[in-house]
Amino acid sequence: MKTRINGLVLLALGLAAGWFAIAGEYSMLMNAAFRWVTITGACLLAIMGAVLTWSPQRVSVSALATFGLFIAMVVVARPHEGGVAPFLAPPKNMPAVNRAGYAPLRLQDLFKSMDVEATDIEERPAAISGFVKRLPGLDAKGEFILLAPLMTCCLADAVAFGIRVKTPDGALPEEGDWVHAFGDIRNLAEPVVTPPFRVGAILFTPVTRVHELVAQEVLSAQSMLEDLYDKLPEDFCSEFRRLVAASDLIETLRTEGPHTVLAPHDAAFERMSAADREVLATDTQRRDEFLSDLIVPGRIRVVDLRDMAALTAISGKRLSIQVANGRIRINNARILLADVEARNGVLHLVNPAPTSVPIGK
Amino acid sequence: MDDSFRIFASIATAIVLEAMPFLAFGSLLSALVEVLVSPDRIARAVPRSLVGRIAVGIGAGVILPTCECGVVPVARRLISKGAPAPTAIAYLLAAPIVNPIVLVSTYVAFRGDWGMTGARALVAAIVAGCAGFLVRNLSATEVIRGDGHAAHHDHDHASGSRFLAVWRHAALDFLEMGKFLIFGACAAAALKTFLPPESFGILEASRLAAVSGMMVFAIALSICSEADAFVAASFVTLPAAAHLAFITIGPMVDIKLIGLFAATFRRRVFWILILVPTLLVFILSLLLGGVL
Repeated sequence: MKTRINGLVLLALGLAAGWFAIAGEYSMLMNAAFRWVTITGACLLAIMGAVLTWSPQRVSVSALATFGLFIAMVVVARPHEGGVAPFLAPPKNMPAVNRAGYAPLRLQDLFKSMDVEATDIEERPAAISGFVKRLPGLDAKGEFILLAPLMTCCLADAVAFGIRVKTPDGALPEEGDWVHAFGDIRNLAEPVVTPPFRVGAILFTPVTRVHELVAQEVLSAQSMLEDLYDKLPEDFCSEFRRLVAASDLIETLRTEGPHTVLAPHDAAFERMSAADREVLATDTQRRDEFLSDLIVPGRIRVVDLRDMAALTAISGKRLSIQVANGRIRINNARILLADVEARNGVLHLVNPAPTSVPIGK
Repeated sequence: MDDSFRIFASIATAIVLEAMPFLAFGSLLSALVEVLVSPDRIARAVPRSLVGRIAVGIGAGVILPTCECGVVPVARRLISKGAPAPTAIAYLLAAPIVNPIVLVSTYVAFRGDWGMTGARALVAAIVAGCAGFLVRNLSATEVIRGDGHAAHHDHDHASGSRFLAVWRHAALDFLEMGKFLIFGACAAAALKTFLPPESFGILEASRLAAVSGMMVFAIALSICSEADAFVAASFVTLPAAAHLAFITIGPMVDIKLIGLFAATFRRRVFWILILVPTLLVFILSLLLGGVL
């Protein structure tokens, strides 16, 4: 039987691949240098799909079933949104930091090949950037592994080169944090073998056995960020900022955490009734209850929300999560701006407010 | 959702995305040749000497780019139309590797390593030459089964223009070969997701273990020759010999090909097509891997 399904499947694949290369989180799965290759291939697929749709051919059941299962897997797992290797690149808001006397060092330069360390590295002050891997055996010694990822073509070939870092005061950064480490590179007299481990989708994590970094300073991306209150956008979150500033909860957003803040857009307050706005302005107890409903313990990003049925705010209020057509809503509030990282948490800008102003007792 | 499933899906999707353009290019070029060049013309161009016949078979692989999925019915058609067995068998084994698309993807996957790219083509040519030599005296009926596997790339070119026929053929080729790419990507992703990092110690125990282990992986994974170099390159801690073994045995012998070979060729030729590549790739990879 001749059908147009073959063509439609190819057309959909071509359009989806092209969209992903242009507008998706491409660099989470692919080296960005390959973007034009993917776009070209997507165009070819789209033309093939259009021709097959125009002139139907006999259906290949096994091919269609395979492509169908693949598409189903992508729809369910949503790999195009990233999340399995968020550490492939430093956070976008992580500033570059230079220290006089510390020359930048790429961790892959400590290796002559993928599994052979360079033994002729000069001992010198160095600045190394990468993400943190904590291992139980190292925590007690005040050490962690600093890993620098390298993705040649795609996620499947991603490698993370590592070095053991001795912290100056035993204070260890969080697992997965991006850090700038400044210290002295030292050659070890005896090789030190690190037990094999994987990091998310990265299976290959060679750690140099003959070098270590004795750090004088470790700056994490998180520690360089502003706090949750300061990250509230002044342009379109002014009302929420004003309410928080008038409340004791400002200390929660400044010093405690990690928390997730569901910050209502100014438009959310404009659509409230005059009575509700009056309550928020005059009744401090109900205002604080309202604000507490919008703060959730933990650093919860959008990628995490997809797997959750509900959030529980610090007030104890339960906020349900709805996922429809790939869009997430929290108590029917849309997320306008997601994953704004702060030192002590993450905030999402929402509209309308996902909770109502409490009724007076 | 389980993290392992998300990791598996991400790696599989990445491999498919990475290989998809190369498979699409390959399908399009293959379709151009399929529609515009007749096998009869190729048969007339075959010389009389054995060396010439084998050389033409390997050379046809360069100018007649076809994935291993499409090469079996083409080789069968060549033999049934009078092309000598050494030419067709050499073409069958060499074409999935020596064609420009595969060599370019190998070059890209190995970050511009001409040594690995050249070694891959060299091993394929040697294996194709030896297999061609072993079938030099066999007639068409001694090589292929009379009621063998029907050419699964036969399409109706009568309707519509040649332009449309090329794109239609390319699309069907892509659909047919794409499913093996997806299988391979999923198998590789499953390995990468669920294999404990410690287990690579087995492959890293010795060059012999690495080469033989990677050959087993290549045969089991059945990854398209246009994409397998990317998968091989991702096994970064293994020696070059293991990479070479992986990217040369896979396009010549893998699970999906074994079934096609069994359905198409007589038993004697079937065993030549399985054993000659396996033995030679093992030996040549160990020899050449030392200088790569």
